[in-house]
Amino acid sequence: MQKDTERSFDGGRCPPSEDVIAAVLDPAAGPNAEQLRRHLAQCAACRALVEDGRAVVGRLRREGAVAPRPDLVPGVLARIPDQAWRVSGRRTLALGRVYRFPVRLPVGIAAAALLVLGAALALRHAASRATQAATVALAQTGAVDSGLDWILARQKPSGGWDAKALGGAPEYAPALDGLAVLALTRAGDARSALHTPLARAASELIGRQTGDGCIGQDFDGTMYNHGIATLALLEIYRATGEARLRDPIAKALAFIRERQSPAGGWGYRNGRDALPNTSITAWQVQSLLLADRLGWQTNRIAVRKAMAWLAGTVNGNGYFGYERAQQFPEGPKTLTMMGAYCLLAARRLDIPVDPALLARVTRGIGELAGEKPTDYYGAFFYSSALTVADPVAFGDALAAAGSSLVAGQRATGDERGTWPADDRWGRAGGRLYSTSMALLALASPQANDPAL
Amino acid sequence: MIIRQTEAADTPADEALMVLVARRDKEAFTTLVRRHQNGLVNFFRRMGDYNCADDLAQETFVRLFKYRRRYRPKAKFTTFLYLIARRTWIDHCRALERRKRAYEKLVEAEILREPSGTDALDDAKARAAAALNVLTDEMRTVVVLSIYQGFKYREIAAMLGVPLGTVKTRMFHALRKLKEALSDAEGHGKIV
Repeated sequence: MQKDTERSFDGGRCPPSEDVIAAVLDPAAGPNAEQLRRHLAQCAACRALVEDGRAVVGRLRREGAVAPRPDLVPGVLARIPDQAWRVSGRRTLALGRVYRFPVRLPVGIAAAALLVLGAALALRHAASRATQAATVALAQTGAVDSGLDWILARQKPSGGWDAKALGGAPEYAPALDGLAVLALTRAGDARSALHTPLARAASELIGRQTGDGCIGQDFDGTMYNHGIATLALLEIYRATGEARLRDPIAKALAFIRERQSPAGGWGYRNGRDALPNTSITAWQVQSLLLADRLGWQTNRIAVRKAMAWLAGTVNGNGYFGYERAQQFPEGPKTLTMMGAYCLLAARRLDIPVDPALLARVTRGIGELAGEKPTDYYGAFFYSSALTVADPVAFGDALAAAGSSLVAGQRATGDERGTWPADDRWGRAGGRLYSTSMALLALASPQANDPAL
Repeated sequence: MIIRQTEAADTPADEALMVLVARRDKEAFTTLVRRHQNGLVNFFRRMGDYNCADDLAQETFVRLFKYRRRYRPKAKFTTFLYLIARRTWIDHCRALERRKRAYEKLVEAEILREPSGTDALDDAKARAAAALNVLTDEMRTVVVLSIYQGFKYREIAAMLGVPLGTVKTRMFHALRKLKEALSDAEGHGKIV
């Protein structure tokens, strides 16, 4: 098995010996198969190389065969806590702080109602659904990667993004920075390469925090900025574990709690008297839930109050209203997916939710799942709600929405990997909003699940 | 013998099962463990630790569960699994190294290479195991992943984070050394 660069290869030199050996083990990594075949017919040295290689490999395989071992499953499962697994009627956390709230019978019945469709379908169609989920995920991976590359390429050295240059309104810069971070942390694959951009983004967000804990300037959309930016800081903390983030996060959470209206929701403006709405409330609730998941233990009362306020906006069909029940300025779909996401996510963290309400809401999102989202904001909540409810049962709807999003992505030019800011919120958010939201909607099935 | 398993058309692909494992589906996880346990145990045996192979395979599956959120169905599942296995093996070797330093008078320098429990092997298997011992860890990894686990060169390159050319070079030199080792073991120059 000696290397001889003087041997001829189709009238020229022999292929490198490494390539000849590669042809034995992995033809795809070797030289052109037809050329090599012709060459071997003429070249005894290369032929000997191939024969030697085959002989060694053959002998190793023959003599190296190892008998199967006893089943490892019991030993492996013994090392993973029982509560790490998903069970009907009760969800506990994996590899983190474990909450042990008593599960009452009605809650179990409600959970069964929530899961019965998914469970039945999962049992009957687990193989095909799961295969479909993976197929869709594979198709979307390229779209996600090019979108993430675009976001990373536009990050400023200071850690933020230029909202105005990217088509957004400057006053929403903290929220837009936050959305970019959420896209990186949730649609990204926790690559350590992301840690530096995330650390810089964290510095930018912390730099925007004022003495009272608010992230961003005080204006009509204060709580939009603050809710999204707080959620982003929490995601960075989850990804990097940076201790310097704990204090700013604690202050930001305190600001959320202090601005909660007596009724339990949040409005646009910075003040407890702001008229609450489902959209602003959904972002604050997401922050509180993730904080709860990551170990901040002072948010449960605020979450329960928020759940009560959200419950008050639900109508008989299980649809969430905007500021009150039956109020649908832009239709019920996005509002319902937002509210349902909050409710279901809270349920995933074992925060008690009225079983009758849960059943109604589950029915509501089931009815609305057939209508594809018409804007990126709606697409994110649509994907998140259906995923947290049951990604298997809603597999078809999620796949269709994902495919539709991928089809709208720019494939060429400077804006390659982005989504055009052509929906109703595009003027405020620009391309950073549309791209981040689309990426969040395409994030892996578990990324938007607060219990994971 | 190629250990990597092929799947029947009507069974869920590994990648699909991982989507469910990420949602903490015990049944999907159990299926994956059963599907890949023999391959993993054999991987660790061939990497050089016959007795600890079961424990190392178990550790790999526990880590697979722990890191389930990091998996994206971009690459093949087995690439992800053996990336974890490789990491488990490196950690195991480092632990052995630490122990070796602590008990240097008691442990021979060959402890990482010498497959313990080889008395349970027949002569042919012992010869193959001994031949693998002449390789560096880098060469041995390429040989085990390619010849026994059935991975493509490109997959191995991605797993080890090295260029494709490096995998080719390591394999070429490994086979040359293996040929010599197997020949020496038999006391004559021909291997077949």
